Amino acid sequence: MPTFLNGGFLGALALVGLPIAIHLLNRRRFQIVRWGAMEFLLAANRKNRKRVRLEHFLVLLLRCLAVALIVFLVARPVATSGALNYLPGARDSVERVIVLDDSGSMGYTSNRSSSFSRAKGLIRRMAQDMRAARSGDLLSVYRGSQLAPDLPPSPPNERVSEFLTQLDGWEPSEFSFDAVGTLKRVLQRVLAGDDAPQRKVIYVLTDLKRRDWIGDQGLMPKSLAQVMRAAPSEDVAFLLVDTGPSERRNLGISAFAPGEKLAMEGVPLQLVAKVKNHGTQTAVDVQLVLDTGESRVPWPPIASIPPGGEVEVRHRYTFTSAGVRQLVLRLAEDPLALDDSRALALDVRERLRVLLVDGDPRPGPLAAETDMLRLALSPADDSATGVEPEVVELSELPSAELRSYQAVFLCNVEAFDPAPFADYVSRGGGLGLFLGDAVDLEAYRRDVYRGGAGLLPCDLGERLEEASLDLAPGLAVPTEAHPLEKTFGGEENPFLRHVRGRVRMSCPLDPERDPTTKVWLRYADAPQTPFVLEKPLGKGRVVLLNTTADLGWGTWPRDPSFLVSAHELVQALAPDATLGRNRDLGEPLEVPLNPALYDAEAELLAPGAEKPVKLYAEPREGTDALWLKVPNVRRAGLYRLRLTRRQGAQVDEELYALNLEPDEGSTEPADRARLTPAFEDLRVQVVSAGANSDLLSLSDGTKSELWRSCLYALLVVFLLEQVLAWRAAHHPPAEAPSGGAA
Amino acid sequence: MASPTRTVLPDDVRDRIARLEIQAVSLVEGLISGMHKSPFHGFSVEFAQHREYTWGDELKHVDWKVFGRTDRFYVKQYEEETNLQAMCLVDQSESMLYQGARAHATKYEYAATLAAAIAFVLIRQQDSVGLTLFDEDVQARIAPTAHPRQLRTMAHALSKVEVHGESKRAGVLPRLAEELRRRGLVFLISDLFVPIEDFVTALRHLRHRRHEVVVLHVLDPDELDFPFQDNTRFEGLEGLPHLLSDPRSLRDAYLEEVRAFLEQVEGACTDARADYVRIDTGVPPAVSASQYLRMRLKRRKGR
Repeated sequence: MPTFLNGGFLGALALVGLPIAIHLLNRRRFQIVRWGAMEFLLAANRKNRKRVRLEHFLVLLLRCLAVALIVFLVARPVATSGALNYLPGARDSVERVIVLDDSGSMGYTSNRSSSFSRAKGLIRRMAQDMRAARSGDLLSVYRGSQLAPDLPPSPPNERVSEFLTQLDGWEPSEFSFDAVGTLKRVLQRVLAGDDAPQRKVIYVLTDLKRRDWIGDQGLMPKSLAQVMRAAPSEDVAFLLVDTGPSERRNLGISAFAPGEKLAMEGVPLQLVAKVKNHGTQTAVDVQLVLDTGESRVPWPPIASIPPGGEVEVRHRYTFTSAGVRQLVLRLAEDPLALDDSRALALDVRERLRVLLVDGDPRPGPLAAETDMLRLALSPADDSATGVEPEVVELSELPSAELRSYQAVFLCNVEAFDPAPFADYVSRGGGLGLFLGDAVDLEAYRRDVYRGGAGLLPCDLGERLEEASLDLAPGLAVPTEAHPLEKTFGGEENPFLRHVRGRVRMSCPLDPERDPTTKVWLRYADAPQTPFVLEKPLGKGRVVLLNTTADLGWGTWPRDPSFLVSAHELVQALAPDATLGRNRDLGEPLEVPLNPALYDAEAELLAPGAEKPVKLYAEPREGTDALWLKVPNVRRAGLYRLRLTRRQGAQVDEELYALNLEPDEGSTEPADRARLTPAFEDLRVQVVSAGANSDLLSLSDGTKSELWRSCLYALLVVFLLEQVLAWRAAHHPPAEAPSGGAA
Repeated sequence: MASPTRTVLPDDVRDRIARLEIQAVSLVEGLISGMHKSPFHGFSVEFAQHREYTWGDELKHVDWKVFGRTDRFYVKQYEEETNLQAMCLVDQSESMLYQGARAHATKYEYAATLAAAIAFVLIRQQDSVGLTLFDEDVQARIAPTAHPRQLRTMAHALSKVEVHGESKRAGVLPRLAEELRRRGLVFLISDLFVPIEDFVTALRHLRHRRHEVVVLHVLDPDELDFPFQDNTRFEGLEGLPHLLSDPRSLRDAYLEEVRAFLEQVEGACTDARADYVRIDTGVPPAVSASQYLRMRLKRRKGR
């Protein structure tokens, strides 16, 4: 059965009716002759009626056929029937490799047909045509989101039939399409196959998005060309088949996050969302709805978003209870539903739990090292600060469960095992270190600093001490942004003068050892000794305060700024409300499990799934923790992980939000003028797939095209028509009765 | 306003006929004796009276004795010659109305001209001539006479005819033939779109009554070669149905039908020993008339 390269022109087949219409119109247009010799005419008509009708019918048929052949000529038919393969000079068998872009944007649906369904249709048709052709070709299919081939090289037999059954159930994934990586992976496999036919055609069915094929820097075409050059060009041809939409109309939520670090029960939380118009027309009156799981809160509509524009919206929401909470922001559905919603998982806290480890406990009011800090965090007058400090001594430390605290302060602790703190910080916890006379400087240098590899932001250096407070330096004007900026910012800030440090460590910063350490505040002494330093570690941070938590080394604890700074420090140290719970789709979803607290078996409920799947925690090399690894995360949305406590069999639920990459909703097509020049020396063809396209004809080029046959047929039809028309309309010079007087 | 005579017998025709007469005169003068011939002649040999010589008279009938005595030309008139009676039967049926692009006139107008020309020649030689106009029936009849006013009378009758009737009704031609009892010269001027049996029957009747019959078969060039190209709706005259057709596809068959028809007509004329003359209205009437008269003269000369 022939297929057509320019199938769109087949609509012109309606012109086949043109000769019939002209014939009918002509029959309505006639001259009238009052005729005397009517008897002869009627007799002639009587005798010739059937012949004349037949001749007219044949002429009309030939004219219609001629029109159809002209349309076929333009539509460029291609024969894919098996018969062609038996003709002399038939080609060798070919391995046909289909690479299917199954990224989220392929789900763009217009006129009830998505880019993905069009691509599936092309694959199905190709498999069927190959089966009909019995050409000995092999077919293999790869999806961009899958590492293994979905269909290894197979002749178009029963296996392909089974594959086609599976194909019906395929849906676009919610991943981006890595064109370079996928092609490289597929080429490695294809070129490694020994038994496969030498000649190969690699079809990439894609919506040919700019993001995937040109890239932000425009370097993608060169990278692709480089990958393609790995294949011998005389044997391997590439066909980039654009199945994308002809029009673009898509709004997507490109970002949805809390505007503040912590989410507290009863405290309004600012939420920030960005809505991008990926379409070509201005979107007006854009509706957003916040789904909290319990209710749906409509946000005021966005008046308009220009094409390509992005609008940021901010709204507040107050959680009425603490715990892990979900939020889903939704847009009205459009052709690409994938980016119409974005989920957020938040840890809403009732209060911040802070652990204060006292390295110098003494009885008496404000005698202990942590007393002033405890008072600052939780004043005695019971004012609601939302912070709940808990003081322990060093000896009690191992029994404390660090993970249940949002921040830990070690105050003048002589020496300690840094390992549990390092684990705590790397998982998102915050550690504050106050110094003091009890601190074993050597132990700190050896165990806690570890030449820059430990917890300490810097080496403590040597002790600097002034004779009296009067000689002690105040604080220098801060030059960089940091969490304590609100308190100490500004040149005329009085706190800078009032906070004095009589004793301090020199804290020399070594750029090689301490590359990530930042200095928030410095003393106003000559060497500008660091006062507050921060070192990020894993998902958390360590803050070193180059003074004591009591009045041993300086005046800060009695300064009003200490009260504010203590709260700001806790805020800075406490992990984000969204920490670890919100990820881009494509990142592995791996969760550490405390084997002391939970069973190794857990359950995961994926979005859209009816039943949870069981997961088993496994040890990971180099750590003591067990890890739960979620395989094959393909859908965006909220994942619920149910962990069973070892004691009491209580089930704790953790919530994770996986969202589409922000730009996956962009359907902007790649500019072919920028894409194709990179492929000039390669056998790469970039084509658009119409409704009637088929991959076999697109790849076989003009070899099997039937336009020449159509042309010959057209000439024959024209000739026949002329002969028949001449026969019907013209006559050999008949021996007309001579006129005039005899 | 043109007189009826001029309408049916235009000047050029009249001139042509006149030239024919002059030609006849010169022929007479050029020949030694008895060679002046009228295209039409009587049948009797019995002397009846003398009358003054006029154009068209044969020299052999000049009475030279009288000339010797009176120095004037008198011809001897015979019994029947004075009574040579010619009758023009002119078809005025609807089919005679047709005029194609190449024709000089409708077939009827052409026939009327021919009839007038014949009458002119006959009256000039003082023979009597009459006229019958017919379609499905006899519509007008003018009794034969040799009076010089006869031409005007006939021309008047020919020009005021309203052509509308049918000639296809069976029996009109035989009836006309039946009515012509006195032997004479009969000109049948028609397209002959009549039942061929009627025509044959009429010829037999006329032959039986020993008439000399001349059939002037008037046809339009279109009817002879059917030149139509575009879709045409042929509307039948005289009660025949219409036909919408591509004329090019029917041309062959039509011409075959016409050929067969002409063969039948000519065969009938031959059988009845009637003169058959096909008149093409595409040829100017003057040419047709003179050609016919010339032919007739030539034939008489050959006798």
